[in-house]
Amino acid sequence: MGDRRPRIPRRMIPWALATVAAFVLLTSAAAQSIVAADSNFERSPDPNNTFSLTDLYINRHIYDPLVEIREGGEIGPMLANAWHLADDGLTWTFELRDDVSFHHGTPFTAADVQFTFDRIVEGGMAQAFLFRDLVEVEVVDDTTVTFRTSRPAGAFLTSIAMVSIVPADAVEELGDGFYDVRYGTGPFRFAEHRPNEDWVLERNDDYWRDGLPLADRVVVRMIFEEATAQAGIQAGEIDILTAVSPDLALVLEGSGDVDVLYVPSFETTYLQVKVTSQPFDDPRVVEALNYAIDRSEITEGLWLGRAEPAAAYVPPGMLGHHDELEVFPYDPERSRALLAEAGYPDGVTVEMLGPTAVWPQSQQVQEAIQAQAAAAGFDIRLNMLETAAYVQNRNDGNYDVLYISSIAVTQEGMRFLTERLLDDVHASGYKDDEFERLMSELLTATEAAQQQELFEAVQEHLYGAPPHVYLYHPPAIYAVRTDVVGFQPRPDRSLYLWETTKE
Amino acid sequence: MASYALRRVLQGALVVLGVAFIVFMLMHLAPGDPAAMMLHDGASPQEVAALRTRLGLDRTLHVQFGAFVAGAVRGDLGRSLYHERPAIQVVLHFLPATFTLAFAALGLALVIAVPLGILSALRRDTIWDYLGMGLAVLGQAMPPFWLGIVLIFVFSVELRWFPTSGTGTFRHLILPAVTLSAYLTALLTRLVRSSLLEVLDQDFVRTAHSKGLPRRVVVVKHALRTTLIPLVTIIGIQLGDLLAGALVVETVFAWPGVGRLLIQAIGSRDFPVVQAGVLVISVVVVVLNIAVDLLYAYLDPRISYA
Repeated sequence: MGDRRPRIPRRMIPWALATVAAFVLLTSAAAQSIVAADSNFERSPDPNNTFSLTDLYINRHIYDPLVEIREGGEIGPMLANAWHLADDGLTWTFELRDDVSFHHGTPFTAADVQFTFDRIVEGGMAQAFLFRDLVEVEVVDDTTVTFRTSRPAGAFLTSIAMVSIVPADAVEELGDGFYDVRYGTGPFRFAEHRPNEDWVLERNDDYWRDGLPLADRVVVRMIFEEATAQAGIQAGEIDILTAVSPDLALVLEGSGDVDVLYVPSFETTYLQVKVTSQPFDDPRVVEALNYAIDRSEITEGLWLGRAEPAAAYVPPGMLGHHDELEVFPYDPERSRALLAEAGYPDGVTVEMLGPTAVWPQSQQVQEAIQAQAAAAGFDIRLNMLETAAYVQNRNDGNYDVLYISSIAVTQEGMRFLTERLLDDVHASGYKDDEFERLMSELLTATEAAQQQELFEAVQEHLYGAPPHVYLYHPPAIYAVRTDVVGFQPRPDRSLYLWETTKE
Repeated sequence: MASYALRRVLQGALVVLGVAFIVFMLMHLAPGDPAAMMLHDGASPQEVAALRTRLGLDRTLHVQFGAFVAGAVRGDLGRSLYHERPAIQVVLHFLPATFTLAFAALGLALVIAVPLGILSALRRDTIWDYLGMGLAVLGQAMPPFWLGIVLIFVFSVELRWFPTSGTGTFRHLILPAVTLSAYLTALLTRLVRSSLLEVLDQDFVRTAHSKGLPRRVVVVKHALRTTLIPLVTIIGIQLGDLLAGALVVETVFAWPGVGRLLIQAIGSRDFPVVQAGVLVISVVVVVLNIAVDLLYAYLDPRISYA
């Protein structure tokens, strides 16, 4: 009888074994870790007491917001299924999901939403500034919550999208101890944060969005030194790097195991002038400065052609971008003529305040501007300072020209225009009635088409005029190892890793 | 001996107090506002002012220093502006990593420098001597940030022998420790060589030789012991430098120690952490220096603190 058993030919045995081994390896390889690196340290262990980009995206893995901002600025549902604005333009109602639990098992309800926002506003937390117009959050029932604002707020949903919802019970019971457990509703559970070293996040098997996350573990390491980060990704210890400098991008492009991704960012690099003192109290001098800078030489030479010369604040891809405004050409003759018209036939001497680091290529760009403007009648004295000293001098208004860059963390342009021009937080002395009128219309407009129109009107009003000289939109640069799949680069340089995995 | 020790401890306390005062003043007088650094770029002057008040930074400098000293006496050095914990806890959390690195570097330096120095001295003006001294010059000439990056690219990226950065295993410690020890190793090698050469010419060594003692015994038991005094002195002085060097090495190797903490805290103007960190380091250096001084009496019976 034994003879009738099918016999495996002897030479097939190694193949059979290899197949089994491969199967075992492949299925066990499902336990996957994605290791990313960033150069920022944790600003706060509290998800609502921070506005740092790094903290915000790490928290997006642990917690969920009510709504999220999708590509093109569209608002999509998260913990809230649906929402609507009442006819008074002041009351927002959110319908919440009823199938979501926090990592410690407590179901998510409207009370957690109310608790989260009350804590931010009453506690004066870092995100409170987003909700200056918020009057009251009210629980209607377990799955309905309403927000009332004091005036119509066009950017309200994008502000809501910044906020991680925290569990009321755990935060109240644990106090500071909450920072060691960090329960959220997000795709990953918080495992550990070793300060100045890394964050470790483990897959949440009960995540409410089916099939997510893909990786079992996400580690984000903090590496300040760029050469060290470069070594890490080249040696295969790191899978993804964000905020890569153009110089490092050039080096990594040549290595076979790493892809370099360039995407347009929501960042604008610009100059701000002091309009209350000479020589920029004369708008013609501001116009002259616009002609004194060769933007494309900077974007080609210092940004490898990956940055976009700018004519206005709102970058391409964001609601409100004005694509008909032309970038000022480099025209030293015109600049000198304008200076002469303004009463400075021999040119002007001005001091430019800027940081040594903070933004990639800061130093090189400031030096390039100095050299270019010299031919156009501007003798620019550079006052390049360490970050904290720069920030203080900037806030005190100690400059003729300020070098600065701004990324739209909330992915919309109203905040920038409000803070930097309407509230003039960096002390340029700018005040303009027509601008204020346009802004009051823009801030209370809640329809996208209307907002677009007003954004364009505001930018036309600011074109070539005080107090800004727009330079360029730098790209977001990522380095990603070739075996990483499903990674989406983002215009704000964040790392969103719940749909990312490895081959 | 006891009264000497007591005197040194009191002197040390004065030094620490002085350091605390200088660091406090440097941080508060340097430009840069902790409140502005904590808030986002577009924060209004009112928001910054409100936070300054909440942090107590709007009080006059002497009131703030008084509050700082009064707190310090009770063991309260303030709360970190970023870590949501008392500053002293934050510093103590990072201290072991720095100690591990510094003592690994010190151990490494001794293990290499003493034999190499002896070899160079005994084989004076031979290829061994030139080789040893060549290495020593190189070790002193290479800045640690450069050496660290070179070691990472050779041994981690090319050869894959060690991880590029971070902590976790013993292998993580090797490259940072080698980098941090390079300068000290070079210094100690030259020191051992020159003091040994000096001693070898002295009468008591010649006497020992003429008594018929083997060369090994003469060198190890008689000559080497007298070179220990300058060695211990230099190590005592260099311990402070070693902790300072950790600042650079920790940054290059993403090593989560006090050095990296301080760089981050200074950059973001986390005053309580900077003050607590510098205070703790100065206490460590002062204690180690007192320990070194007390060690002299043990090493050289002629020295007495009676």
